[in-house]
Amino acid sequence: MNRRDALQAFAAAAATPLVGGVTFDHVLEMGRTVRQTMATAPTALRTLTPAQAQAMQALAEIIIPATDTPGANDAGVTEFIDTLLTDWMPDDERDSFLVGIDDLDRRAQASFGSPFAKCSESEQLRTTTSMDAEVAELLALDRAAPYDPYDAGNRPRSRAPRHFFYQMKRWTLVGYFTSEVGMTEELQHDFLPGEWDPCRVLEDSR
Amino acid sequence: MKVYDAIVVGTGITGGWAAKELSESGLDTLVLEAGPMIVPERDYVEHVPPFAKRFRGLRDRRKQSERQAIQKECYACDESAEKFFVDDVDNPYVQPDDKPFVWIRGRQVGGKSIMWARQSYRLSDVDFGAPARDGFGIDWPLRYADLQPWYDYVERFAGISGQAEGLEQLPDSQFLPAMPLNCVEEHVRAALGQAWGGKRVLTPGRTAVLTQDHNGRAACHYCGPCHRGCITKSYFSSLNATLPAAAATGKMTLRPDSVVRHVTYADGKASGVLVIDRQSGESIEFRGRVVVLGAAALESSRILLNSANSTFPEGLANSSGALGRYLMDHTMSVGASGVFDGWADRATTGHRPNGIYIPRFRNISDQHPDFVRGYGYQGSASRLDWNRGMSEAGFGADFKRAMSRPGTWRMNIGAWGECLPYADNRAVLDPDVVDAWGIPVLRIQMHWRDNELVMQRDAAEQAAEMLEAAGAKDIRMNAVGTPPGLCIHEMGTTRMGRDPETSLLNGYNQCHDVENLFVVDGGAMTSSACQNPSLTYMALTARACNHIVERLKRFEL
Repeated sequence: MNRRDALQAFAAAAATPLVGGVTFDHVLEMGRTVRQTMATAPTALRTLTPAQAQAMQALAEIIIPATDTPGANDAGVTEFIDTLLTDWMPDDERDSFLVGIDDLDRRAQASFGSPFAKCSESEQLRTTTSMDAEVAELLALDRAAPYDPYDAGNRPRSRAPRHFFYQMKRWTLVGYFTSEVGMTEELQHDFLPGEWDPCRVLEDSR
Repeated sequence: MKVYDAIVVGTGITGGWAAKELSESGLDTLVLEAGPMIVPERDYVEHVPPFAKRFRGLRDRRKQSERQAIQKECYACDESAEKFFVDDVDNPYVQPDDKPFVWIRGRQVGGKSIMWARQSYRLSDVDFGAPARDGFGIDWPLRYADLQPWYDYVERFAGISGQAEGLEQLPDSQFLPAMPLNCVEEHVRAALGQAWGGKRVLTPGRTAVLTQDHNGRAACHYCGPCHRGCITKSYFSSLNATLPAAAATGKMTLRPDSVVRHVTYADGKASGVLVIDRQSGESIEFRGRVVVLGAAALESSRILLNSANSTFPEGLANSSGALGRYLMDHTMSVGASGVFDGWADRATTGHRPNGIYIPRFRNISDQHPDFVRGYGYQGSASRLDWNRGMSEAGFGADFKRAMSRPGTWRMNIGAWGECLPYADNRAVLDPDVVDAWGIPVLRIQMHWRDNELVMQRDAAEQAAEMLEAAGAKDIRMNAVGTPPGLCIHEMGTTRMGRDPETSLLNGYNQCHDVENLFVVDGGAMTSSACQNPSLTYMALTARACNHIVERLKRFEL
């Protein structure tokens, strides 16, 4: 059953009232109401400066570009990260993230004479490729690090999460794949699957 | 003053069952809940998508560090469901710095039955006979044959999905159809069968989630986050099942916002309870012919400790001194995970609110040299999702496309282990600290001992061995468990037993010292077994309520 079939099945099911008069139409409506409320909320930046936001928008779109589906900027990833920085992260995490963005601009300035957002596409790609390689090296070190299954105090701290690009990629992934376009268009997530199929054949729908 | 036939304290798994059984028997029943009313149409939030939430379902870390520093340790206390967990500032308790006990609590109509993990397993005589057999703890005052009809009874009402296996150590329930294993889990089931014969069995988790319409409740639609509520009432909870049944009798008076301070006592009997209104702070007394505590083990024990009087200076019905002692929980989180190559063209549809179970295989017909009792595993196999992208190199269009496809299959199994009863794993009243309603709070002291720790090491090693036997790669083992309390199976602090000198309750959850006072929650457990306990609490409660009704009919209470 694909998503369209499932929705049709639920439309049919909606004709039959469930317990307490609740129908699947009612259930779907719960999600819609909240979504509309959120859509009208202001999205002005509260922590990021315009220059920082431009650098992040450029980098987020390189990590998750718009293709045949929307990309990171369509999904509002920079606004989402601004919310985390403002209302969610402890001060030390927020500060090191902001330092990371400023370092990105300094790095671009030193290499190419412009802040990251103003660099050419190929300059941005070169910078991103080298940051990704730095994180890949740290991830390999983390995987190779000795791991004591019997003593949690004897396990080395992961190194990769301390790199700015790791955090940027992490929050870009979260911001994108939990957004409305990320979930509905890219993932085609089934919110109400209506069945448990333990072993279906995986078809490529696109 | 009006005298109710029965007063039930608490509306979680056991309070809900007591409310149903007593009111259906025609008793005029007052049901008290410390927290607010929950209205499913307003308060359930399982269908609100992540993008409709401020932090996309990530926890509100700042608010939680101020108000839920302890509750946030529970996986289910997320941005959507945090309202079903207590405020730790209003509900303090005291614990030693070096021996943490993580006390997870839900105070609302429905209690923790709203966020429970729904796994439902019977105990057997391997469990009920264990203390008498190996000498650790006191003998249970009942055996499986006493409880078996009551398991049947509560299962038929609640609806338990699962697969019959005919195992001595894990009796089959009255099952609704199981949620079938996925391809990798089927493979591991076959591999365990090959390597260990019938000794190690992998079976679909047994869960209180409906796989077909049942008793006016709808079959599961596999949306996933059960701990946020269920508008179709597809999983068992007090709100979804027992309280509506109790309300339908017209015999139940449900009073939310009623914090029970203590049980009142006169002429050798419990006469009622003193309530402090959660909102107004007003003290109100209620009278009842029978008082049934089902507030969860530690809260019921706290009520009894706060009910001390001149006859029972160490706490009501506590001539044995067992009240607050023998606190148990299950050990949790040790186990292993591994990757399975293959099945790349296979995936699952639906967010299964369940996993697999590997029943206990230690110390059933033989004896392990290093520990007594045993453990069972829960877990699941699934394909990795986009979260894997954080620990993989790459970015751009191809990376995006890859992340929206399922990744490799990974299976994780973790052990739930039995905890022995120790007199000094214990809760007492703290002499100084009170909660937001001025009621003295508990000082809880508990830590795992050698038997639990040695058993955990074996459970981790056996998990890795089983995954290896099934052909898993990149196996990672963890032998470090979580602190006591976090499994949220706290029990044993008002234990039942045959001897009034060493136990509070008899086999009908009735206080040896005060015959019209009953404790039906996990406090009654004589030993912990290793199975998730709620199903046993339900059966014990239904059996105790039947006993209450029979005794009242004969004017014996």
